[in-house]
Amino acid sequence: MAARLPAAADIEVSCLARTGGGASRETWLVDAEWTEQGQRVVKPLIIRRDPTGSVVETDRRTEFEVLCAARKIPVPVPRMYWLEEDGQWLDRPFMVMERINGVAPPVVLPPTESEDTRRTIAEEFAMYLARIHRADWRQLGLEFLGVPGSGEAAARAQLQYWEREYYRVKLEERPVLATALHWLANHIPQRSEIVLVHADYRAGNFLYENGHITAILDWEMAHLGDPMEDLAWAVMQFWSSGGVCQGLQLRDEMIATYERAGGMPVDAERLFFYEVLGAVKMAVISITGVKSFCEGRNYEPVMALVGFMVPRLEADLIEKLAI
Amino acid sequence: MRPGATELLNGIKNIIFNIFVPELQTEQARAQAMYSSVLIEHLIARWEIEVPLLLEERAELRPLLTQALGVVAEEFGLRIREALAAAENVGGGPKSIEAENERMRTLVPAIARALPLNPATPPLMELDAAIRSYIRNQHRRDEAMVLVGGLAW
Repeated sequence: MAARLPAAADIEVSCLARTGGGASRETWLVDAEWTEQGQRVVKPLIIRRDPTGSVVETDRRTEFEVLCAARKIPVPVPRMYWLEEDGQWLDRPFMVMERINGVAPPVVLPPTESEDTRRTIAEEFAMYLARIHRADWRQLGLEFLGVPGSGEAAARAQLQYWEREYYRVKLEERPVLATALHWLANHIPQRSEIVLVHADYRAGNFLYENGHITAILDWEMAHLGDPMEDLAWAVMQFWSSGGVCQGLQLRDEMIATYERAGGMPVDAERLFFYEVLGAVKMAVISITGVKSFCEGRNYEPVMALVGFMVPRLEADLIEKLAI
Repeated sequence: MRPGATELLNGIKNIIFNIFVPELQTEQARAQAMYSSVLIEHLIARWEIEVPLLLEERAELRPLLTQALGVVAEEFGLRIREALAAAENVGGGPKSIEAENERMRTLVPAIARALPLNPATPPLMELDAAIRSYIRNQHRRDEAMVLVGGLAW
């Protein structure tokens, strides 16, 4: 911090603690204080440090720059302070960002929350997704993410990425996933708008407090692509409990809320394609964690436990594709 | 007289749970210890079912590949025959059965991709149905393998 804040004096950090969340990067809480221009500055911060092995291996600079750009969209995201790609300070690269108050639901919004909270959060969840999709990504300077020439190119790029990842990380043949990949290759959607896609838009990746969403987090897989990709991810069976997506709304209600909030037009065929791709993607993410564990790069038990989710994802694929 | 694998694993789980966890100072460390004991509990339960499930898969893969031999293009023939021959000589341990199953299993998606999208002749239709049946059965075995020891994902 002294290197990044040359005008600061008496820098102190305290209350360092790792949080349970963050399977893709380690998440640490820390309080920082310093004196600058005669004033004492106090900042609660989050440090996101690269793990030794992860469930997704993404570029941290992309995540940092997308988060900086996302501050200009009217959605709540933390202020980014520093990106440190040199491992000399904390052994591994990391980024430092503002700490926003709120808690992240574990997977779905807990059933103990009131109906008012559930309704408000469902509406905000849809509204922020619509705003992300309506954002002018050229004006935000996000062309560096790679601009697909068409909806077909966007779908093909995502399919190729996750197929390549599957063959890179797979520890054993998974016939259901192989069948789903084959189906996807034969059902690429032809047309779509190209928007900023968050790519991991779900309950575990927002914070909420006092009945409102306070931050949209985990932008590390963001890219330019088909808006149906985010909507499909949000309504995917895997994040549902008792038919309620994300613990917020029934599938059709969530889709209608997104459209009412000004989201992009919903196309059922593309939505289905991306739901299938979403299940494959989540399975590949899980297998990536297992591979980290099996290769001894990250022995945190959660890396092994994520592998236990794969058969559930495959059950959705068997049902959807009538295997 | 010595403790068996299950007794040893139970012992380790109880040491983690009753001795380590109360001593740990941070939430993160306690969570790691709890997850570790869940993994051990899973391993204890899996111990009993893993080999029977692997043997069941092998018993299904061998006739499936034999059936494919007469139907699919010759390009697969050699690989199928090699996989079947290797499966004849497999040992009884889970690792070796798993390796042989994996060798046969990797051929299934390749054979499925080689079939026409809508198989029209009886042998192709029967092979397509047999592949789908294997995939569903294998998924059932996978589910059985992970849903033991209190892991209810």
